[in-house]
Amino acid sequence: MLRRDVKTAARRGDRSAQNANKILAALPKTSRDWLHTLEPVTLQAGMVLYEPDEAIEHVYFLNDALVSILSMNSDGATLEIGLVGNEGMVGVPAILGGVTPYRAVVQMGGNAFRIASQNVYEEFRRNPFLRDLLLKYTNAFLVQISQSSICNCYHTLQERLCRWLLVARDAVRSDVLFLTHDVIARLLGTRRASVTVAAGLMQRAGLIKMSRGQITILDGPGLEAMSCECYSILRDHVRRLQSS
Amino acid sequence: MASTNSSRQSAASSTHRAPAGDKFCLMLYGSVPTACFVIGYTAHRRDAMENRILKAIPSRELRVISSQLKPVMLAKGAVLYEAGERIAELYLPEDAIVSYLSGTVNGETIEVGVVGNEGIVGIAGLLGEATAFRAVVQIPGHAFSLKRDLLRKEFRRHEGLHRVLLQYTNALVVQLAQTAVCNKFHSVEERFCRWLLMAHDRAPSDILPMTQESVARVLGSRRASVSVVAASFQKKGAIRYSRGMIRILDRKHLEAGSCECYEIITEAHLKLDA
Repeated sequence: MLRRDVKTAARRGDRSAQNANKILAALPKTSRDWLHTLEPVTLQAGMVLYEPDEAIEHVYFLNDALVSILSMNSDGATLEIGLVGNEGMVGVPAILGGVTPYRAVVQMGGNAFRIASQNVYEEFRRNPFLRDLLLKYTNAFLVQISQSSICNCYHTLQERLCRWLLVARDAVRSDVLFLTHDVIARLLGTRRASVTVAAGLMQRAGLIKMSRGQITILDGPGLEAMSCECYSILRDHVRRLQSS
Repeated sequence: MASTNSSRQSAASSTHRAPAGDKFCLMLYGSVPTACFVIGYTAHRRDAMENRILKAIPSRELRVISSQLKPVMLAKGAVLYEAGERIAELYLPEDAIVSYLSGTVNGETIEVGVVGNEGIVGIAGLLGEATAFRAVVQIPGHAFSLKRDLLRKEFRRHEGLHRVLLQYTNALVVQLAQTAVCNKFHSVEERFCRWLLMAHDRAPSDILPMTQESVARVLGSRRASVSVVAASFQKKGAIRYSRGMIRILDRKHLEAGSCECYEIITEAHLKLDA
């Protein structure tokens, strides 16, 4: 989508765009008067949106980009604690009035709207619809964090890889994911070689197709069958978020 | 499955014990006439309150909700919410400790977060409606209960209450995330130390009424592994355990044995007091 189109879509309050951010799209007409203050931006893979323990300058409403919230241990081990796509906003701590010891990294480039934290906070205080949507999203974010907590502990890498690919697919609404094994290994807190083995098995089973820096989902239901229950739990939470 | 059954049993026994708890509350607070209770509460009882959320709320705003705070006794093992349940009441622990537990379809459980006097149980009711976790009382004790609808209404109206509850939510984000990291990367020993330190910070005394089995369930590890770790810390003189309780003797050993997660979580919650 061209930058101008994104901007026009925001001004008109266009709900039709398939990849429009779900939080913004859920706002009723009467509380959309602030949308012109959003600035359309293009996010590139690898960009860092905020650093650990640093004040968050801007929050991002994602349209078709994918952003990981990453924890980095003192010994260099990393783990994804949350994944944000078009259902959410990057920068929840800014709304809550704090910082977190985590980093937000763009995993797949795409379009987003950004706004200064101060401005979105003022709107959050003023606009009851935005407040309810963001609080509900915060709740879903807490669920996501703790679901990965149990998933990382008890489920096999194979199951977790399936879960991750399905959540990412839903977040960007595309079966083609631009990701390397290296990146996925860092998100799942494991070694690259293990991801390659697990992904190889899935490719042989006809569930996915891999090429350089790209994973295509061929058989969604097959992946769901191979994933742990965490995927359906997370999916249902996102659906509930959007239905109410 | 075993864990589900035992929690259910404890829940049942807690309802059985409820009248005794009520009587205790009556003894503690109930003898004060209602009018005095409300006025006296904000005037001087505030210093006696242990809950840090209540302490952080500006006094003018605390007055609005203080008449609605109901002192309750939380019994060990009581299930405050099941996963997916609509939240009607939130709890502000004074000296009770509550675990948020998550489980797999195979019945394995793990603690995703813990709430003591630094927080409020059931914040999901403020953010949305339903909770995703089961909330179980680990260490019995006192708390105040508060109706969700009332808190939600006042939360919107009062700046200070709004700020305090959102800041707490941010600290909870850090706690849940750091627990996820800790469960994934750190040893049973490190996590055992982290948990005991966190519980000790929130408990009224050095004695934690926890069996090794309940510690194992919280840490998502086997009882046998917890026994080995507990024995080694007993030998060092850090703790002493007897039937159904763990006494903290020397925190220094636990601090040395814990991972950085203890500090990260504690620091996140400290910001509330600043």
